[in-house]
Amino acid sequence: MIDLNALPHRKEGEQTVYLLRRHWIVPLKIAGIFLLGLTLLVGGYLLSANEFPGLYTHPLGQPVMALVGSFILLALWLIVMQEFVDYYLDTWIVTNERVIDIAQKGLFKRTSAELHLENIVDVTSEVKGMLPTFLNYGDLMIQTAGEKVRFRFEQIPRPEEVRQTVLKLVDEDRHRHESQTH
Amino acid sequence: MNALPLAILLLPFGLFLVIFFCFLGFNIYHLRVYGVQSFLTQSIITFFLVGTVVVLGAAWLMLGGSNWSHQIELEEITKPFTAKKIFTPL
Repeated sequence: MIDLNALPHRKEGEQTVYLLRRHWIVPLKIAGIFLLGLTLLVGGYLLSANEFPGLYTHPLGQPVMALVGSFILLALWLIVMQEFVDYYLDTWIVTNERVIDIAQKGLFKRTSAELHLENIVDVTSEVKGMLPTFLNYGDLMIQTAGEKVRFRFEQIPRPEEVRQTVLKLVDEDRHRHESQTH
Repeated sequence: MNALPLAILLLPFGLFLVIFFCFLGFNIYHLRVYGVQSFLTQSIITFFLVGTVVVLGAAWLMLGGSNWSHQIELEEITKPFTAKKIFTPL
């Protein structure tokens, strides 16, 4: 497990400022999909039992329906678990020294990258859409000297506040490095 | 000769269960290894394990109601299962 107090290559005095994940609306949507699927499953059972009463007494119909129901239920649970683990393991850690981006893509792809604060030249926040505006979540783009955006924090809560903090940390880091060289 | 054991239908379901347990194992492994060390991560692992037991229990109950040793005749498959008459005879 990742211990926030003992991050790999931790520098002396390094402190975790943020541990970020996507906004809570994301797991809420996953739970919604599960509940919708469960409702459709129960609804489908009630409807078919009402429309075709013989189906659940038929020597072949009953076991087939039981198998189909079990399959849908287990598949639904598996999708929910998979989606949630994907959400939960996508994390962004901001410390007073660096930014760490950990991304889980499916079962067999995991990327981990870090960026030292001294290399950051621009931080942009973006809140787009009605729901993100109401719930205050959006993306944060961190750019280095290159043309491409280096890190993108997706659907994080309070992106503007995080942007201000990251910029403050970059500033403090620059001052610290300058005072060390003089 | 024209009869099949009903339990044959459990074979593809068994294969699906193997895949289900593989995914479950990988997900729990990922949470344990790559999750942030916290009470929340432990709670999530527990929640998923308990949820899996509940879902498997529900599947067991659904499947338990069938007589899997029954031999299914091919004529039985084609026998209509609905007693509803959609069209009244002229």
